[in-house]
Formats: sequence, structure tokens, C-alpha cells
Amino acid sequence: MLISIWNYLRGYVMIEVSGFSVERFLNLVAHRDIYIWDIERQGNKLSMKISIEGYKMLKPCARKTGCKVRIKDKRGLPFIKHKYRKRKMIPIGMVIFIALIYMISSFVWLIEIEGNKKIDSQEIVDRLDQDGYKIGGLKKKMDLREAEQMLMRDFPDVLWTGISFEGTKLIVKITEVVPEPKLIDYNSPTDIVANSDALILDIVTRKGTPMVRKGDTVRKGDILVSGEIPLADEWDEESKVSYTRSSADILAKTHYTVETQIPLKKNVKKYTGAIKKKYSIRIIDKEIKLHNSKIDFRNYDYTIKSRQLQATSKFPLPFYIVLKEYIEYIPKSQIISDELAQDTLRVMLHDLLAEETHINAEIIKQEVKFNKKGGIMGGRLQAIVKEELGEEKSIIINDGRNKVNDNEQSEH
Amino acid sequence: MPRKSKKNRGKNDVTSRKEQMIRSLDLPEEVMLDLPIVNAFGNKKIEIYNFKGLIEYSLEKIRINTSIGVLIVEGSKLEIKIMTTEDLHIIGIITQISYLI
Repeated sequence: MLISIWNYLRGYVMIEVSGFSVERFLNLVAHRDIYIWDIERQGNKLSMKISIEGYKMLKPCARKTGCKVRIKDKRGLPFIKHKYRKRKMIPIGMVIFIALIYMISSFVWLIEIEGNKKIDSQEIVDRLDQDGYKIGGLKKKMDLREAEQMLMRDFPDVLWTGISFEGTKLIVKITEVVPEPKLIDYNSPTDIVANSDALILDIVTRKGTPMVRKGDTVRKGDILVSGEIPLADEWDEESKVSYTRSSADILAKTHYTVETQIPLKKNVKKYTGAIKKKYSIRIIDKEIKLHNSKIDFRNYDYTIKSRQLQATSKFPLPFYIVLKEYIEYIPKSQIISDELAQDTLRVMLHDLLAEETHINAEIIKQEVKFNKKGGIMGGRLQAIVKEELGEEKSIIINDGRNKVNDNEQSEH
Repeated sequence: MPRKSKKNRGKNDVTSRKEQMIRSLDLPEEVMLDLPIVNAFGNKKIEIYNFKGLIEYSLEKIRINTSIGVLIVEGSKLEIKIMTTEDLHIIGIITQISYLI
């Protein structure tokens, strides 16, 4: 295999030898150190291959042995070179081609971002774009270490980034900061405060001083369980106070009102099924349309699919094939019946209610009212819900009191 | 005729003495005696080193002159792959290799 490539590069001649004693001819040729190979008998002739230099030395051998030598074929690079010696554009074209490939591969044609979950890829691409790290940018001009520093500086959520070239791709690898777990400080004192107006159904206090009782009505912001624990002291007139993180299960009845509305008239797109496809080629930013037919749809949606051409997976090129699909539709207005509107409203209202209430909420009583007004159906849901009440609110203690608290802690 | 045979015997005596010396001195025999070396690769290929010349070449039979006589290679579709002063490579379907001494 390797030898045949070598022979091709050197060039060889296929010759046909005929005569009375071809064996003598072969002996003579071998004796003169002329390299011949692939000798094959064809009837009374011999065909063989011989190097160009060898062929030039063949004449005396042929004359001496009385053999006739005829050239059958000339093969190899030197002959091709000779054939195209006058066509100067071929080597020029080859040089241009290689130069063009070199040029194209010295730009970035695709940016890939890996490893980001919270940060939007587009944000990173936009930030890189601002400093010149963009598609179509020259690779030599990019200082990747600086870009890494820039990303780390500008995105606080980026813990580490590694930017590298892979062919014509710019690959940005990102490691994001793992969110710090929210530490619950069990030592800081808190109150439990009502987060809506409610009627207390049940209260079980584990820690703290309960301020309300079963059956009480509370307003939003009222303290339900206080973190202050008065330390009764018989001898000391001045009562001391201890602070704790209060904890309690409070069940309450709360009242909710949610409202929403939907129009009775609805615009619907009715697709006719007619689709027109248009291909075009995009080179960096310029788009070249492949055919110039007009879209005669009055109303249409369109989708764009673009595919980047790649020399190999590591060498994406700045050429894209863009397919635009136009989908025709006829706009139609549809009038929804009152019943259907009310049904959808009911679902919507319940969804809204579920968003506002506690997860374990239980609806005790509900009432839905509808009113139709000028093509719009409005809905109003009033509900009484049994749910857990209360949110923690930290107590701000002034210095004097804090000291007492500290003492109390140290005694424990 | 008897003279000729005597001469022949004498020649044989000389070679055998030479052989004996080479053997006792532990020299490579094939080099010293100028013997042909035949490497056969199954029935597909034969490499012959140290030959004197080609006598006959056809698709079925190749006769090669060597120092110890004529080497005959028989087979079908015989082809000389390489021919130089030292080596001769034959490919084809080889059925027989023999010496005519």
C-alpha cells in the first residue's frame, strides 16, 4: 500500500515488451540495477512497470536483446503535473482554498454554554457580546482568561468558569454557586402573628405565651403567640422577661374573596392546512433567499428553523440553512355560551383561591356569583376556609432587655 | 565418459571440503557457498534471493538459474512482483518448486 503510494508520487511507466528472448531482457535490466515490478505475461508479450529514470536507461537493453518496448500507460504525479503545467490557476486555487479554510477557522462561529441552570444562556452570550466575544469574532483577539474574570465579576452566581476554543466553537463552562441553605436560628426570639383576619378555631401552644383563645376573632397583624415569657418573681417587684422562639399550631376560619373575568367573545385561529415552505441561506447576518415566491396568505403564522452547517462537529461554519414555514389561518370570532363561561370561571376562581390559601386549607363554605356585563362574564368567589394561621415575626429587643435574655441563656 | 565422471567427482570433493571447513568454522553456509535462498509463503508467494538469472518466464512455469542448478517454480497465473539483481518475488498459485541439477 505504502509502496504503491510512493510509486505513484514518483511516477512510473507501464510498458509492453515483446521479442524473441524477453527473459534475457529482464536479466539485463535487473543486472543494470533498473527497478522493475509487476511483471506479467500476456501471450507472447510481457507487461511491467518501471520508474521514469529506469525507462530512460532502457533503450540500450532493448537494442542488445532485440526486444521491442512500447509504452502502454504513464501513471503518477509527475505526468499529471506535466499535463497541467500550463494551467496556473489550479495551484493558485488550491492555495486560495487552503487560505480560505485557515481564515474561516480562525473565527468563532458558535458559542456553547454548558453547566448553567439558573442563569439564562442568552444573558451570558449578551454579556460576552458586549466585550467582543461574539460569533464572527477573531479568535486571536480574544483573551479567554480576561473573559473568565469578567464573567465571574459580573455574575455573582458564577462560581467558576472555563472558556476554551474547540475548533471554531467557543465553549463556556460554568459552575454555579449552590444556594446557601437558609439557616433557621432557633435562638432568636419570635412572635406568631396573624397573616389575615380570622376566627380562631383551635390553638395549641408549644412555646411562648398565647395571646388569643379559641373563639377569638383576630385582625391581620395581631400577635397570636408572644415570644415574651414573663418570669414571675415573688420577691422582686420588677418582673423579668425571657424571650423564646414561639411555636404553636393555630387553626382558624378565614374569609377569602377572589374575582376574575373572561370575555364571551373569543378570537380563534382556524388553520386551513395550507403550508408554504421557504428556504434561505444565511451567511453570518445576511440572508439570501433561494426563491422569490410571494406568500399570498392573508393571515398566517410562521415558524423559523435554522441549522448551522458544520465541517465537523468541532468546526461549525458561518453558514445556516433557514427554513421558514408559513401556516395559513382564518380568524374567526367564537361566542361562548354562558354556561361554558361560568364553568371555566369556576375553575379559574378555584385556582386563584388555592394560590392564596395555605396548602392544607379546607373549604368550609363557598359561594360563587356571576354577572354578565357587555360581553364580559365576571365571577366572584367568596369562601370560608379552615386553615393554619400565623407567621413568624422576629422580636426586636432593646439593649436593656437583651441583656436579661443573655443572662437567662447563660444560666441554662 | 569415464573421464568426465572423474572430473565431476573431483569437483564434488572440492565443494565438500569447502563445506566441511565452513561448518567447522561455524560460518553462515548460504553466504559462503553462494546458495539460493527460497522463502515460500504458503502457495501464494515465493521470494528467491541470490539467483543468477531468469531462463524462462511464462504464466505456468518460471525457470531460474542459480549457483547449484536450475530452480523451477510451477503453478498458474505466475507473476513477477519484483525483480532486482538480488531478489525475485513471485506471486500466483504455486503448485511445485523443484531443482534440476
